[in-house]
This record gives sequence, structure tokens and C-alpha cells, in this order.
Amino acid sequence: MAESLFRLRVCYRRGDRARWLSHLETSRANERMVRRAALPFAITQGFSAHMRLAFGPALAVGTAGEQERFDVLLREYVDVDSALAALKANAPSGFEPYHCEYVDLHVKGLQATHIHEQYLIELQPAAEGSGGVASAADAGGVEAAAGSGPHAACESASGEAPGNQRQASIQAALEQLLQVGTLTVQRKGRQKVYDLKQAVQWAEALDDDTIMLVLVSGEQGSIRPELLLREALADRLEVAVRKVTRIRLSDQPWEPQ
Amino acid sequence: MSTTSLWDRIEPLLAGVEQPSRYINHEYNARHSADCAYRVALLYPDTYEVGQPNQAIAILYQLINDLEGCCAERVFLPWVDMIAALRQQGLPLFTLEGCRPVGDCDLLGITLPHELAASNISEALDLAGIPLLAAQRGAGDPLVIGGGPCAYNPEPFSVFFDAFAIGEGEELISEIIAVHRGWLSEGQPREELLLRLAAIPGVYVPALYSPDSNGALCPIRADLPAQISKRVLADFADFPSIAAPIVPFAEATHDRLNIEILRGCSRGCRFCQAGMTYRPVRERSADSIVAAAVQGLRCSGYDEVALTSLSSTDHSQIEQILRRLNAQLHGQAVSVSMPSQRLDAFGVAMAQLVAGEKKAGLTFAPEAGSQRLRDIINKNVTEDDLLQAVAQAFTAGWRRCKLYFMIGLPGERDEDVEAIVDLANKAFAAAHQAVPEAQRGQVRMSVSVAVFIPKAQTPFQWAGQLPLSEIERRVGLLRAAVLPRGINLNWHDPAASLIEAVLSRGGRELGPLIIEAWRNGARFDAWSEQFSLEPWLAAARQCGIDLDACAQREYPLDAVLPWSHISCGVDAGYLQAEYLQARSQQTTADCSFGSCTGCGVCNNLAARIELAGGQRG
Ligand code: SF4
Repeated sequence: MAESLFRLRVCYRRGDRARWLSHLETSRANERMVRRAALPFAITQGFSAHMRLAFGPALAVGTAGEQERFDVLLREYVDVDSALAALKANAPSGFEPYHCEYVDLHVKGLQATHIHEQYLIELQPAAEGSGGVASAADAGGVEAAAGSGPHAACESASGEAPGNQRQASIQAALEQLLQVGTLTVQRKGRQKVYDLKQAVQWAEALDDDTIMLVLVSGEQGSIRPELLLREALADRLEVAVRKVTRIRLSDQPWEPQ
Repeated sequence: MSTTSLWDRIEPLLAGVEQPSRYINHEYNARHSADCAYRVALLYPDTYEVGQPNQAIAILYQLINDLEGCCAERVFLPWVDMIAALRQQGLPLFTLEGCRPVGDCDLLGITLPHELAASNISEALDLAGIPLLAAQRGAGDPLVIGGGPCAYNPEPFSVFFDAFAIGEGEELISEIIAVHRGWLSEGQPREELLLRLAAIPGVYVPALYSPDSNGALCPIRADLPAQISKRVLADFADFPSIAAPIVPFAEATHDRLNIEILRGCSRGCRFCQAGMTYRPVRERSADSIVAAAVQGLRCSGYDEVALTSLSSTDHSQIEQILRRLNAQLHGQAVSVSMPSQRLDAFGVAMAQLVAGEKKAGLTFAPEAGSQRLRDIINKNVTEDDLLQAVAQAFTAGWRRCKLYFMIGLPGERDEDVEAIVDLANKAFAAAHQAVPEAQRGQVRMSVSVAVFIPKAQTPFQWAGQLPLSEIERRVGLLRAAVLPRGINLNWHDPAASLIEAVLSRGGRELGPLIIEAWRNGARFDAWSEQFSLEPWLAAARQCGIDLDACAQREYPLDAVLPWSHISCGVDAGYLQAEYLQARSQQTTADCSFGSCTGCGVCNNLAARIELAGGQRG
């Protein structure tokens, strides 16, 4: 193949209702966006030709993403502003491309490089008078996801938080789990054991209703934040997750401020 | 009219159900209108991924949204986990676009795709909080209208519906809406609405028809038609294709751009309802098909376009269409597909034209194993046709194909069942022969055997279904057959086909049966892992209905049939003649390839065959 190819990296947000999509559904939605945008995409040769597209680490069903990425190979150079404008104009609801750049063809793929994931987990505010221990059964009164930024819940809740007892309990529970050192997950009959020292760089209760996790994915893939939380809090605290957002996805380690 | 969105209460349920993407709406090209005077909910009585590809819903969705002051919203039945969650929270069935209670719309249109959807109609109405029986609905309830294939024998479903739209809905829908809106603005009693609806050609209002002493359903007023004829879209060829199809997030069953390239098929298979009810054949032109495909792909981003119809290879310009699409779509990794292949050399040649390197699988439908039985059902293909087509396909590079057959057809004998196995074996041998020796291990053939269901408006409408025990015995003949590795033989559940036959050929008395079966737990009957005969048997006992008698009954040729007051335009005399031809193993030719064979449709409905290329064959 003599033709020269260009590797366009597209950064986008996945939010609102689109957070309910699976990885496969997200991939398909992105591919269709590229087609509608009429970018000069390259295709594979041979048996069953398809667009040459590569995705970053999967974003779980129900999780929003602020810094998602995919790479698409182009047959012709398109300046990044035009590419971005075309993608924006053809993005499905809940998808927001915000940056395009060209990446060297020889750099390793997103799956291998973008292993640093930072999550913000918003909990249902503690039920009033329950001393900071919320009931998971209380799923009513949930706000619409649309429009509420990652910090909306904690700001409104911190005003009347009953001390920061819940925050302290969550923090203690997280630390205790990290002490154990491993997390065993059963999924579809298969067992995965995660080394938490490697997989979890940081775990912090920011306030009563917000937890920040910094994860590093390895050979096993990455841990689902909800799973880690469930494991940590299982018998101690009843909390219900309101919303999970991957606020950072990067090839560079996260540095605490 | 309340238009509150339920989304804030629905979203928290999504974390606990399978495939939440079924419920989120907001797909590309979905249309929203916050405020509109008249709302239509279009319900497909199955899950999102089954119903979303339905073309009738897609066509009506576009037409209604284009009408002044009207909007259409889609409704699918949530899967059982979501139904349980909704019921637990006291939430009703909701529309996708506005996330509104279905009961708040003005008109609820329900597609009746097949008989096994019956219990889901009960489930949907109940979940929506709409009274199940049309007779119990009041001023605050939507007008409930049914359409689609089962409307050709509407009686088993008639308890649920205020009216049925018979035939092609493109023009009918706006006429129904106009009448309903007029009535809404005047505040007349509901009886007046029913009368006005019944005056629209192609609309059947069951409440205005009652049985006479012979059991024939007759109008209760002299100004109503004795027989309701289907509507036919005269200018189908020039009627625009769907401009901007909705692109699902969730993976639908046929997740691709569909272009309806022609309507109707007059090959005349005697068991086939669609072959009678979509007459006459009308083709879109190659120019308009190619333009619609290119434009549809551009605005959807799909990587596949399917040229749909009952028999796409029969289009008089099919070769030109495929060649032009190939040229225009070159280098874009878009595949062109046709749902099934005509069983001859030309069919395979056309499939070859679009398959490129990707030869996934071909589908052939000989339907019967022996020539005698193929003549009875008027399937005008021979064993040589099949074997040559298979040889040609496997020489060209295909390594797998599917064969479709039926058992329990009128006139079938044991040797005809055994002939299915013989024919499959011969086809497999022909495939083997055609493939280089080293690759013969890759040859796969799947043989699917369905149970014959007698359908209203066909030459076989008078024939009964075989008793369940006899069908099972004949399935046993297939089961006993010794087949080479590489042939995979499977058959449909005979128990489900009993219910299909009952609902296909019974009458008004079946309404209570459907409701009782649903109360006993029947729903999603078309899903083999959800289907159970028990709720239906119990319902039959409760209602005093003999299911076997209903399915097996042979109607005399001069009997009043439960659907005699509904016409697809084909003369009853033609159907009778075809039934007699079947008995004497005489075949009838396809009028779209030769001369008129006298079915009556063109005359009765002032329609005519339209072939884009002037002639076929
Ligand atoms: S009336 Fe004649 S030409 Fe028209 S569909 Fe029937 S058989 Fe064909």
C-alpha cells in the first residue's frame, strides 16, 4: 500500500443520556458520526472491509466521560478545525467532540497508552436525620442528569451536611480495602484478581457525597469504580451511586495538587 | 392535555435493567416537538430492537411529523425487567421522544405484525393504563387504531381497537387524523367519531358491525359498506422514500438503511399472505432508488444498505441498480444486501454482484421437498433450479447457505417430509462438489423448517392446520433423518404455531381468549424462550374455546369466513380457483412476468402493475 495515511485523534465528551450506552454502541455511534461528517476515512483491505478506527479504554454503561478519545485513519489530510467542525455538526445527541489532533502513526494505540483514569463518583445525598448513612433504597428524588455538572451535587449537599461523619466513614472504608491489597471480581463465570496497589493510585472522599478515584488500567483491564466502591463499603455503609463520570483519561499519570 | 416528561423517574431505573439504550431515545434523526396540538403514539408491540427497524412505523413517523400541528412519538414494549421496574414504581408505558405517558396521546396506532404479538397488545394497553376493551374507553382515552398484516383478519383483535386501517397507510393516516381532529374540536359524542371514521375508505370500525344469523359480520347501518377494501398507494413509484431514517444507538435486528425498492409480489405462492395482500407489483425506478440509497447513507452514517421488498431480485432493473450502487459506494466500506435470493442462476448472479469479498451466507426458500408439493403450493422452482443455484454460489466462493422449508402444508405426505431431507442432502452434495477439496470441511448448510399456518386472504385460507400430535410425528421424521456433519436442521416450535393458527383464522370470539391468556402470564410469545402453551390452554378452558378445532377446522369453499367482510382486493373466486388448482397440482404463472391471471386486484382497486424497466424477465 503506497498511500500515506493520517491518524486523526478525536477527543469528545459522552454525557447526558448517552452515558447509558455500552462500549460497542459508543463505538458504532462514533463510526457513524465519522461517516456522516464525510471525512476521507481509510478502510481495511480484503475480506470484510471496514473503517480503520480505534478506541480508548471502554467507558462502562451508565458512566459519563469528559475526555474520551478515538483514532481514525484518514486517506487525505483535513485540517483539524474543519474536521472538528464536520464532526460536531454530525454528532449524535450526548456526544460532543471538542478537539482534534494528528498523532504519529507509529505511536501505540489508545488502549495501551491511555491507562490513567480519574473518576468522580456522586452519591445520593444522605437521607435526612440518618446521621450520614444513606439508604440505598431511596432512589426517589433523583435529579435529571442533563445539565448537572460533576460537582453540582456536592455543592448543594454540603450546605446542610450533618458534619462530615459520612465522609470520614467512606474514607476509612476505602483505605481499609486498599490495605487488603487485592480485589477479586467474578464476571460471567470468570475470575479476575486485581492488585489494588497497582490499580488504584488515589481514593478520596471529597465530601459526604463525592468520591474521587484515580485508577490505572493494566493487563486485566480497569476496575469498574462502582465495583470497587461496593467492595469497600459493602457491610459498613449503605450508599447509592447517583452518577459516575470519568473526568480524565490520559497517557500521563495523575499528580495530586 | 398533560405533557409532562417522565424521564426524571425513568432514568434511575436504567442502572438495574438490561440494555438501557433501548429507553433513552435521542437517536440521530429522531424528531422532537415540545408543543404540538395533536400527538400520535406509534406502538410496535415488541422490544425496541425488534420494532425499531419496522418500515411501516418509520414511514408513518415521517408522514405524521410532517403534518401541520401533529407529532408522532415511538413506543416499544419494554423488556420484562423494565416492565417489572415500571410497575413497581407505578409508572406507565411511555413514549420515547417525549417520555410521556402513552395514555396522554390523542391517537395510539398499533402495528399488528404477526399473531403472536396478541398478548403483548394486552400488556402494552394495560401498562399504559388504557382500558383494554375499546367499549370501555371514554373521552379521556386515546383513539386506538390497528394496522399491518393481521388487520386482514382483524376480528381476534377487535375487542382492543376502535378502528383498523386496512392496507397501505400512507394516505389513510392523514385522513384518519383529519377526521379525529375535526371531531375533537366539535365535542360530539364518541359514536359520531366512529361513524365518521367508518366513512373513510379502508377503515373498519368493529363496533359498527355485528354478526347476522349466519355469523357473517354485517354493518348495523345501511350507509356503511358491507365489505371494507384495502387501500393501495397508487403512486408508490413516485412516493418519496424515508428521507432521514432514525439511527439507533442500540443494535437493532436489521441495523441498516432500508430502501423499499418495490412493493408487492405476484409469484402466487398459495400459503403466502403478503403475496396476496400487497398486489399489484409496483417498482420504484433505478434512478430514485440509487439516489435514495446515497442520500440515506449520507444522512445516517450506516455501513449497509438493504434493498427490501418481498422479492428484490425480481425488480426489472435490479442489475442496473446493483451496478450503479457498487460504483457509487466504492471505497466506502458499505455493503449492499438483499433479504433473500431468488432461487435460480440469476438470483445468485445478483448476489455475487454485491457480495464482493464478503460472502457471508445466502438464503434460499424452496419451501417444500418434493416437486409434487411445490406444484401444490405454486412454488415455481425445480430441484434443478436449487441445485444449480447452490453449485453456482459455492463455486463463486460462498461456504454457507440457509434453506427454508415448511411442513404440514395441505396435501403433504410422509414422502414429502422425507423429500426435505433428500433435497437438503443433494444440495449439500452439490455444494461439496463445487468447492475445492481442501475447503470442503468449511461447507455449512442450515435447514430451517417452519410449520404451515393457514392465513386469511390466501388460497389456503380454507385449509386446516394438522393436529399438534401429527405435526410432532412429522417433525419426528425429520429428527430421525441421518444427515452429514455440516448440515444443521432446526424446526419451529409446533406449540407456538397452534396459537398462530388459532389467531390467524378465528373470529371475534377470540378477544377474551387473548386477554385471559395474558392474565395467565402470556407475553412475548414470539420469543421462544418466553413462549409457553400453558397460559393459552388455561385461557381456552376458561373461555370455553376449543383451540384444536379452531386451528384444524376445514372451511367449506362457500362458508362465511370470519374475515369475509375484509378484502385485499383479490376476488374470492380467484382464491377458490387457486385452492382447486392446488388440489389438482396445477401451477399458476406470475402476472408481473407475463399476462394477467385474473386475480381482480387491478380492476377492483383501480390500480395497475408498474414496472420501472417496462417489463420483467
Ligand atoms: S389483476 Fe391481473 S395483473 Fe393485476 S395483480 Fe391480479 S393477476 Fe396481476
